Amino acid sequence: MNNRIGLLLGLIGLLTVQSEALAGPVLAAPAAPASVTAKDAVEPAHAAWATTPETPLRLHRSPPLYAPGVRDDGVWPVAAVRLLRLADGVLAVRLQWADATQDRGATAARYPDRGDAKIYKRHTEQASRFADGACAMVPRRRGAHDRNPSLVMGDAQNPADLFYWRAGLGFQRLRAAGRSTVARTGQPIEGRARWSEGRWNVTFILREVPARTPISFAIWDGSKEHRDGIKYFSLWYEIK
Amino acid sequence: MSKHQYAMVMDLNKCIGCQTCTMACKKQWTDDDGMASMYWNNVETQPGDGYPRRWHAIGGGFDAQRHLRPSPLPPSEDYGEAFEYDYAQRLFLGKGKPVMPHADPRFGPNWDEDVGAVNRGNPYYFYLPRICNHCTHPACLEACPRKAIYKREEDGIVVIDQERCRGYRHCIKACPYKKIYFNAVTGTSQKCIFCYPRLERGAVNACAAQCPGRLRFVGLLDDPESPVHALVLRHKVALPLSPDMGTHPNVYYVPPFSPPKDGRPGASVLDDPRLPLEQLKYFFGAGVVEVIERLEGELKRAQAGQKSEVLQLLIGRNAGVRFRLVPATVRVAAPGDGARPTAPGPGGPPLTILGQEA
Repeated sequence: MNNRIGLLLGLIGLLTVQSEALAGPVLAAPAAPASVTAKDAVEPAHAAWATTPETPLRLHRSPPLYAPGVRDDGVWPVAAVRLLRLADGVLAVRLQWADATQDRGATAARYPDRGDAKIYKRHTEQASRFADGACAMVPRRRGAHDRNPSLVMGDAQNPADLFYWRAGLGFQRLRAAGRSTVARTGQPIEGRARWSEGRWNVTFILREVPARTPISFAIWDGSKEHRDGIKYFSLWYEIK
Repeated sequence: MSKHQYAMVMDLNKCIGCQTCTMACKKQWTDDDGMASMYWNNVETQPGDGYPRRWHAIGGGFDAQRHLRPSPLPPSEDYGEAFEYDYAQRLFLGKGKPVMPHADPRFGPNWDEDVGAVNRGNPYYFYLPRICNHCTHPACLEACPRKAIYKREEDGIVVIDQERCRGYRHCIKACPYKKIYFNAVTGTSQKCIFCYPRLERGAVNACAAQCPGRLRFVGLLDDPESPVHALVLRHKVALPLSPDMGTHPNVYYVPPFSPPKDGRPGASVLDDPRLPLEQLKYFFGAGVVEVIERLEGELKRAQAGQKSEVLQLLIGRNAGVRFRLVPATVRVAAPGDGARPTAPGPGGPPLTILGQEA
């Protein structure tokens, strides 16, 4: 019962903050030089990223839905986001955050053997490990919104498109219309993830995202057993 | 609450630890990519670590206030590295060393017996075969935020919807028996399905069908004609595993009651138990003493030349005695009258119809 009260308080808190955010923090998305394509921008180290301002991301922790059993050292990652507007309504997003460890989660491997390894099955390894991850969420209905969709994966009236990356699993596009409705779409998305010197740099290429579309972000830390709604997330920003 | 509840009773006095059940299950359900460490059925030597290592001591289930009490996720080392053999070199090419594991094994599904060092100097142990307990209050179901786990209304079998599961593993932490496994190939958690596709076709669970010791009894707990109803509810000689975990398991055990240590004629097992009672209480709760007394009473009655219905049943002479499957009864109770899509039929030999229709 305590968990449920905690959840309720957490959600009330969220909704309050969300309504305050309606006037909304804004993320600048300056146009990249015409020569920069999605192929260029998907590279986190491309020079075009230096031309766009960096916004520190204000992160929040998920409400205590799953307590106990969540590892949390109280240290939240320092994260920042940059946006680049490319031609034809394409928006490039680069998320950057500090994470001392690269966590790739459980893996499936075929043991290399002295003999003909092809006859062997793949094995599950590191079944207790979880992967680092990141996500950019936009409403299915793009453009200006008087009322943002629910931060918890959108809602029935305002479903969400999710551009999702998980270390070791790659990039996938998901859709959702509220908590626990996340489903795979099978559509591929462009993105790239690089880790160096204690930082993840992850880019997503979002198509058909005009100005004034709301956008929000989430980050998972595998070493803290993050998965599911156990994550860091931002409130809604409006793309300028 | 489901309309019916399939249950299994295992008579631990008859288990010889041959692992035939384990292999029957493995070949039927978990012989695929990503499933090497997955034993929906395993047999472990107790007292010992069990599988995964120390599952019985790390938590899970519910506390006294009915809150979930998740355990840590067992690391891969607590399942052991599943090793392969160099079949190609040895068997197909006729060269190489004798067939040896590709890695140096450090733990496995019944490691206690493999190393033979558990309980050294104490001449007692028993085999504990384990499957998913298909609990009445499944902690796994409660822990799943995706509602990917459900308890089938028609027969109480607990299953994981592989389409809904996203591999978060809250269920593994919640299960006090650690009978859910993660598959990194499918990215989902998987578990014993009580062979429901077999039961729906009138064939008993693979582990029970193959058991050479004939120690497994299967039927609906709520069917007065079933052997599990007789052993659990009428004669009260079978107990669930770790009843204090708060999940109300539906697999029951006839506890082992080895003869007294020094074999004095007429002495009670309880006067001089070979298996320390504390060990048995640890696994089956305080009620185990009463059950042993009851079983001893049945034994005395048989020794005095009287008929013991319990012992006759526990002999399990044939499949008709051990199993009572009622697919038609269960089908009638299914939501939407069988509208739920059925799983593809298992491979292997044609299924034999066992038991009788209600």
